[in-house]
Amino acid sequence: MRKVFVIAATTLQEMLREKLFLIVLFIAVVLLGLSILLGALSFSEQQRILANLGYTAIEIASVGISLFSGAFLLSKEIEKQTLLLVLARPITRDQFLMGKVSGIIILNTMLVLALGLVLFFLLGHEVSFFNHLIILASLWFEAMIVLSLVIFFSVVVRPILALLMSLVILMAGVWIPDLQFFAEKSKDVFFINSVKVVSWLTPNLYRFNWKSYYFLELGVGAQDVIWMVAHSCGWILIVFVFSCIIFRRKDIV
Amino acid sequence: MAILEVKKINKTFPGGLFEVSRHVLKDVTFSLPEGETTGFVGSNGSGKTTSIKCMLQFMNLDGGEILFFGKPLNLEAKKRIGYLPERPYLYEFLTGMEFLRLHWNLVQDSSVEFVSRAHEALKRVDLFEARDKKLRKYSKGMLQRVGIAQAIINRPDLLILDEPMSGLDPDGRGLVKDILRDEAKRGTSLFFSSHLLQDMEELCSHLVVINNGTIIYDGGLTFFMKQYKSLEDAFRSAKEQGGAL
Repeated sequence: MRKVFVIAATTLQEMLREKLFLIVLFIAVVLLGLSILLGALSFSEQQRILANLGYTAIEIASVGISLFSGAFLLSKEIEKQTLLLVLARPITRDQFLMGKVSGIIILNTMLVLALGLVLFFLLGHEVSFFNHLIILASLWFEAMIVLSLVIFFSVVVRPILALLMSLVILMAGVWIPDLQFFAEKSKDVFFINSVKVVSWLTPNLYRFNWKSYYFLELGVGAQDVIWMVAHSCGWILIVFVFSCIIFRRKDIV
Repeated sequence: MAILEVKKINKTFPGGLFEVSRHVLKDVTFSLPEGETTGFVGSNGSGKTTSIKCMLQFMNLDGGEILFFGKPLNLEAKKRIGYLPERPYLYEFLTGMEFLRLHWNLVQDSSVEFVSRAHEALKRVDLFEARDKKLRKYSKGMLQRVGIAQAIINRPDLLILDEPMSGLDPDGRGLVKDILRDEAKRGTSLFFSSHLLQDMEELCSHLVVINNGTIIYDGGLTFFMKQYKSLEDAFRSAKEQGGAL
């Protein structure tokens, strides 16, 4: 466990010192600022616009960190062969991968919490902190699923391709209900069956897309929260195990 | 006793769509005597780096066996090994001290001795003054030296260095040779690769020669030097004798 922590701490250090994190943070802050400005333009819907845009800003930042860092962090290590020195030490490849992923998870958690706290104060004290936390958790789990996918793909293919493939799965996961709607409208059996297959093969992210003000006001049912945690953990675990299996057998040329 | 035994290892790189597969290591067999400095020499592309990568399990073997300290490589054995790759691309966002701390923490369970050992290693590679500089500000020679510092900080029993002098200026080469001599005096078994026989003459007592993925010589350096004028001469003789010398 100590070795995983050592790699995680180094990864965190790397990300905080690299420009990528600052760029993503800057984008998130600009989006948050934009949501305040847009909210101020509206008289009656100020808080609604602020919440909707604010959560979207946090989502973009956390998913962005997952996508970019996940795609490039491991491939950079392999390409530059910096991992040779580390893997020559008494550490398994699973521990190395776990450490790398943990570093990104810690950074993502810090980012979601910090931006979430800012948004909470911007929204004012009338909103439920508990509901706000549940929405933040949904954004965090979404980013974690994306991270596990991009790490898996980056072990197998080149980073840009890994990033694109993860992005496609993310979009499919969010847009499944729309696809199902269009498939049913088209009455095309092939289209309907294809959408069914896509919904089995992609994480059902639409089921915890709670970024709207509606969920902040009324909250989310306990059953839905449990489903989100179970579904996300299942996906993350399965994809991570596959990543480890492939990474263990990978030749570092 | 042999500190490392490489037995009949084979490695083939699979071909792509328009590429044929390449059999890069062919029944490679050699052993390293304990406490000696072994040179691993061969021309560019002869299989030196691939052999080292297979030894340290960075690449999977197609066949054969590698034993460190009499056993297949495991985490315990890795604690006793120091390694420096051919092109030491290091974590450039770290300072010299942070880089050594990372490698210390991956081997040791306690940080008690770290500072004194890191200072000692940095002084030996002449980088003590630059210890708090980021590695991205180091020159190529400095990176090579800090790479050596991470390899020796845990006082390994076996030091494996892949082309440790490649690309260094004469001063840098001299310094690396001095460090290797010091390590050998301390009792560390050394294994380092180079494509220059001259490097071997100055440092080694034992020599392993590889040509086109096949070991053509595994024995004493003095005997080898008496028999052949140069590496090319040895390669020619090996070819005439059907593979090995």
